[in-house]
Amino acid sequence: MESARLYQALTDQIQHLLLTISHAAAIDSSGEQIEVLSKHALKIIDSYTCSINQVKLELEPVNVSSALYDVAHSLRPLSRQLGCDLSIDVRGMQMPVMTHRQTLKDILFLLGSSVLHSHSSNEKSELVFGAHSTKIGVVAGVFSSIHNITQSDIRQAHQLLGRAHTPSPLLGSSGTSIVLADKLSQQLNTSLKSIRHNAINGIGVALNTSNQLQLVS
Amino acid sequence: MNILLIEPDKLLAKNLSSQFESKGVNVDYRFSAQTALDALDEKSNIHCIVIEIQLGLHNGVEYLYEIRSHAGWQDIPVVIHTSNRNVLHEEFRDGWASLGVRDILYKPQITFSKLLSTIKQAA
Repeated sequence: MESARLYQALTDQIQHLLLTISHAAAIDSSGEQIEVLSKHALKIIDSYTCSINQVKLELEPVNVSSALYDVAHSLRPLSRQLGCDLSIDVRGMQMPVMTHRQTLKDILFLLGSSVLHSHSSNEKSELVFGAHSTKIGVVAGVFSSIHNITQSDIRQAHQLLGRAHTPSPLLGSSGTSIVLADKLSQQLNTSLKSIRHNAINGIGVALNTSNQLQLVS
Repeated sequence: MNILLIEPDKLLAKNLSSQFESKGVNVDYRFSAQTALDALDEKSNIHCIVIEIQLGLHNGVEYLYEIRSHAGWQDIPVVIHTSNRNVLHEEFRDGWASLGVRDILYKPQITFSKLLSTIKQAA
């Protein structure tokens, strides 16, 4: 049943992205917009495929900062179009984490694009791609200057997926991206959590540091 | 012609606004039902309201009931431009008409030209 609802929500979101792309193409001045929306649609489809195929991922030491920078760079055109400032904030020396680099980037991209769409009001806003060390490892995610994202927003995205057009206004769109990000997180032996970073709330994942490099240091 | 566009997706609204303005239609764009009520307070020369029913917090139906309860806003025509297919059902037509809705357009199947001509007919 959940997979049917996920599929329904996914098709709704892809349809919406394609609709926006078609209007962007009609005014013929938004190549950047078409590119970023197309990438978003492709990312959703790819993430859905990965989540249902349950591929066993080879984990490797990954520098979280570089993943955050890559994803922030790819979402900068969208943030510009939506009038939202985007920044990266990595606190302290970051030990590499044991994860799958591309999957981590996909998770961050899905979270970032979802929360960006929730910043669609005319309010001045900022989205932060952040990471910091904790006792259990490194937490990385996206943090909103205007929305207080909590664990109940994540729960709501799951519960209302495919049933409500916008399961959580704070997470933008149909909740598909959030649920897919959560499914991908589970493939990394973690899950989405609401996290606090530098006094702002957001959503992200906790990752184990790389033991190999801990031994060296 | 001046229209009030109520659409929760800012990118889509931005693109639609560009298309409308290239055809000489002035657009006041609002993201939510609440800010759309403020728009009607601020401006008296709105010729048509174009609204997505699926809004983030208060939905479009609540908005329509709200505006029809104001003496000065009862005659402003409304065109629904929505991605919710259920809104199209024939059984709801009379209900929409009683709220001053002149037409309901399903976004994925409607060209911009059709949207524009519908609005011009309604206004």
